[in-house]
Amino acid sequence: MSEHDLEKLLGGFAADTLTPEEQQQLYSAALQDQELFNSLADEQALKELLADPVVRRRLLQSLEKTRSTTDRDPVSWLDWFRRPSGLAWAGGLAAAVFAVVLGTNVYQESLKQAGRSVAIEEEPSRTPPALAPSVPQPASPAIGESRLKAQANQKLSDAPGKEVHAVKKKAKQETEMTAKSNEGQAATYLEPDALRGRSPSTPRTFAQSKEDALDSADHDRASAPLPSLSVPAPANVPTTAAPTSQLGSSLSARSLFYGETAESPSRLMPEEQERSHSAQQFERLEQKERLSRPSQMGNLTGSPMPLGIRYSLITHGMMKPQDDRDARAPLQTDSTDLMIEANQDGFFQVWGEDSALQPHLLFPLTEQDPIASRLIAHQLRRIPILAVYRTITIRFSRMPFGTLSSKDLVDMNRSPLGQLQESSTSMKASGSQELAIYVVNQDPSVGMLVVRIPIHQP
Amino acid sequence: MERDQILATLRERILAFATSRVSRDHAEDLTQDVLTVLHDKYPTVSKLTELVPLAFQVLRYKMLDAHRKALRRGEYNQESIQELPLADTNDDPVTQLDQKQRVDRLLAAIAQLGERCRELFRWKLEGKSFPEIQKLMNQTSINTIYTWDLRCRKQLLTFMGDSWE
Repeated sequence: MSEHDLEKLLGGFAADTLTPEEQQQLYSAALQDQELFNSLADEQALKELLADPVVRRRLLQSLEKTRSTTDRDPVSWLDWFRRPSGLAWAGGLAAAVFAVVLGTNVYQESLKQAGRSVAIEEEPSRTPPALAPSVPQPASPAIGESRLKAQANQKLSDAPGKEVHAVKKKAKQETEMTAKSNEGQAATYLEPDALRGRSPSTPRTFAQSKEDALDSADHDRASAPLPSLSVPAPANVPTTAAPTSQLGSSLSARSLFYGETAESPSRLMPEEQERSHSAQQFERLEQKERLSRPSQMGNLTGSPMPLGIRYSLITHGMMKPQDDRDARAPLQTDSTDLMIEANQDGFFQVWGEDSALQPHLLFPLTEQDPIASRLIAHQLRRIPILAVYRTITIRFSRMPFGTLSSKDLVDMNRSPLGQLQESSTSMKASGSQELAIYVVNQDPSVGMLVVRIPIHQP
Repeated sequence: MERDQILATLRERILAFATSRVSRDHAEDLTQDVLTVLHDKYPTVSKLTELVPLAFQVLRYKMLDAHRKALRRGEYNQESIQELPLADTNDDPVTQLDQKQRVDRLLAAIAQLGERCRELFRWKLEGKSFPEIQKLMNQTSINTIYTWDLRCRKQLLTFMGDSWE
């Protein structure tokens, strides 16, 4: 043991607990080292103090008391924290807790943002259109560019009047714009005169995204040969004259159209699968669905869903020059495609009227053709319409059609009651616009929907 | 090591220590008094481990006596010896007070020690040697105990005001 290490024996000298070997080493070293000797001489005072049995007993009692209190006292935790290992554990634990709390906060924040964005998308679709038009919605940066395109496109067909133009611009700002990359044909959709005052109320909805998706699918099916020009919805649509039109109603035709059909089981059925049904399979399926539909709808909504269709017109061919100042003038076109979609499974017919007195059945070929006239919920159908027809009439029913009676003919020419109508303009990636018209009968018990659409006025 | 050789070495160390505390003349007298006591009173003590601690104890007593004698002679306050009371054979109140104060300071200093130091000090007061303390504290090396004890002693000395007196 070196002389420096011998200093460690000083504690044992004062307490007189050194072993004989330690004493020999310490005292031998003290005789050789003056500093160690001085230290030992100084320790003599403590040694004398500790040699007193009374003092030793007092010290021991004090130490025992301190130990008993520290055993019960949480101060030992403080001592544990003072140690380097305790500090390392505490630091690591604190870092882990901090990381968990931070991660949890970030996760919850992302969930909140996701929920908020979904709520923002769903909120406008539930907003009644009659309440919204006076308050222009702020344009988001993402769709601002497409809205500008929509305004540029609609300038071609706008009315010349400044007031009408201002209303039109406002309407354009409110219409939703969607972009698609696989658009194969350029189509321009023009807004009908009768709807120009109402279209600004059309909010951007999640349902419109579904529209675009369906439109895209439809464009794949319908191979239009030429760049087409859409025809505006008719200027004097009879349904708008209904006493419960959307102008004075708080209900939205589009929200009624989409609102309760999102979970329709038949919507999930692929079109190809539907087409593969034979006539017998179709009958069996029809009977099954008739039996199951009320219970399903009752479970989902508690009441049958109101009948509703969504349609738009796409006109092909050259557009004849027309006076921009007269926005009410209908377009002169060569042929038109009627794009129709229903909010529930049903059957539909398209009737055309030309100069003849009696309307002609345009689709299907025979009046009693349940397969051809079958319309699956939210599956777009394209019906070509010749340009010679002045007005077309769409009949949509939950039940297959029978032979047309004279009463039906009267009903076709009569303005239906209780029908809501709403228009919505959407922007395509090609820069063209589509004007879709939603027609929904507010009365869920009504089993048939009749929509008259003026096409062409000679 | 022979007794005379030990005493000769002790004389050198005691003189050097005393010189660092008192004047040279007093240190010479103090050293001579210590060696006289060792020679006259403890002629049979010849082992190093007995003679050296005995020399430390005698040295401390002689230093305290010299301090008291100087106080009695008025070397510090120059008072008349006629006014001083007769000396008691027991410890005088000053010595008793000094010891009491030292014990109190020691208790306060021990209370400030850490758990390990208090435990170490307790075992030392119980008479445990360092090897025994090593086993009690489950340490493989006794040097660990030596190091802990040295640190605790220095810490205690700091809490005592850098002096055991």
